Amino acid sequence: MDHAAFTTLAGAAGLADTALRFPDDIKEALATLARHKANLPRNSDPTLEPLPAYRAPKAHGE
Amino acid sequence: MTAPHELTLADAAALIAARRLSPVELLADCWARIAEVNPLVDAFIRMTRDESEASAREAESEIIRNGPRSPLHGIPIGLKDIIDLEGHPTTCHSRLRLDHVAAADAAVVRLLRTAGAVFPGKLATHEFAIGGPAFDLPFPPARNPWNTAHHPGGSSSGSGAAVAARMMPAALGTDTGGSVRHPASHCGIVGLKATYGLVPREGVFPLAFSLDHVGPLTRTVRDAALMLNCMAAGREDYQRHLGLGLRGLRVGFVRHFHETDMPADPEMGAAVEAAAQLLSKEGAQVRTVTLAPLDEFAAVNRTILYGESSVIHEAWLRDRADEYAAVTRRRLLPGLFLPAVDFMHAARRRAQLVALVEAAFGEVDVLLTASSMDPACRIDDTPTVERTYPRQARTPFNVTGHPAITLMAGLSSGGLPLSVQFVAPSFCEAMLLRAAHAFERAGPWKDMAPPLHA
Repeated sequence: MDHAAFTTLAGAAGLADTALRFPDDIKEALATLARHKANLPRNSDPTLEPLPAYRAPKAHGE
Repeated sequence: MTAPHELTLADAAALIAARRLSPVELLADCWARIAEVNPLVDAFIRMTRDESEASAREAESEIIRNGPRSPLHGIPIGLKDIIDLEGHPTTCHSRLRLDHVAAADAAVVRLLRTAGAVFPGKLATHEFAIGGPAFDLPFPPARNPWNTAHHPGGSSSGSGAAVAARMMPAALGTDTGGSVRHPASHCGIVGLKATYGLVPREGVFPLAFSLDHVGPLTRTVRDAALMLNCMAAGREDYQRHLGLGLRGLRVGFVRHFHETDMPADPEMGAAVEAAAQLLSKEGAQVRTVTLAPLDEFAAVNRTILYGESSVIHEAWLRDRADEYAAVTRRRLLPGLFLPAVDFMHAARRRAQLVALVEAAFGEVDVLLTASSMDPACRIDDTPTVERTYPRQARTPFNVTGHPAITLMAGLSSGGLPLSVQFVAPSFCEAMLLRAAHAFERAGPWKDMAPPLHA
């Protein structure tokens, strides 16, 4: 990743200053995410619901 | 006579109920033990000596007058320092929280206090329950009582070290990716994570809301049951199936976790296989069960953990990143870059993994798995700590929320504990404890103690 892309990515994450002080940690974070991404199953079924499930607000008094 | 600090929780409670041991004597002996061995294992962050002694005196007079309120009355219980104890800092082992003072007890501490427990102090953790053993923090990392050059497991490292070193009969830890069961595994004690939501989390500093559990670390399975009786607010008597044994129990052996997914250290693998044989010999019906690969559970756990922890640590990672230990900063930063789509894929796969484990419980009563894939490594060997930390089979049951317990299953040739894990259907803790208790009684390890002397 070139420096401009790195800076843009860090800025988008709100970590511009942190990236200046700890650039190696930011690079490692990105590499870690890439590793996990490879192991994360991706399902194309649009109806598959997540867990925890989203909950509707409770009715008054419940 | 056994020294009071050597007693299990159940044995101490029986002597207290029989007026043969006073809470004041028990605590005094624990303080003597703490003075002797805490300098070797650094389990404590803060000692609350005066306050605990006052509580023990109150317990003593109340028990003389009315008898014990519960088996925990007058029992010293340590608290991992992410759990609020009113009037004391909850540092999370971090310089970012040195100024924090808890305004109230955590809900689980309230339950224990109501039962009469005594709190001798706050115990070491990995920073914010996610770092690793670190030497760039305001407090030293806890060490393994079986060999103080070694890692005690984490993140509830002080809780594991304190209980294994006989400083107190029980302690509380928290478990988001295995952090109660990891120190239990490395310190040769019992670590229980009940069904998600069974033990209240209010007043416990969160790591990942939907994965966090609070659980006890104890010397025996019976002690874990006694702790859960209180921590689950009296929902049921978790001791009721202890003693039923293994005959007829259907055990699903998840062999692929340690055999092919993450091949275990040979001694650990042999201990897990020997455990399955022992269960069979004792009358259990053991059959092989296949779940999803460990890598998949781990990826789902980590992705959800990154996402949920990011909202807790965002401001500190932006403004005070230099105040974290380097290892904690590196473990938290991925959350700030996590694509939302990955988080949602993990959350959707999680629903399927829960269904998969539930389906397995259609055929068996409990699961047997490895807990750690390796015995504890040296605490100063950072590359090996980093390599072995994720080599475990605990995270699947944070993802699914099922109750799980880790306990000792042998000793390595290097004199370090080996372990196994049992898992049960949701809210079937009584059956989980029955299986673990029967295994504990069948093996020769329950009375082994670390050779720790000042």
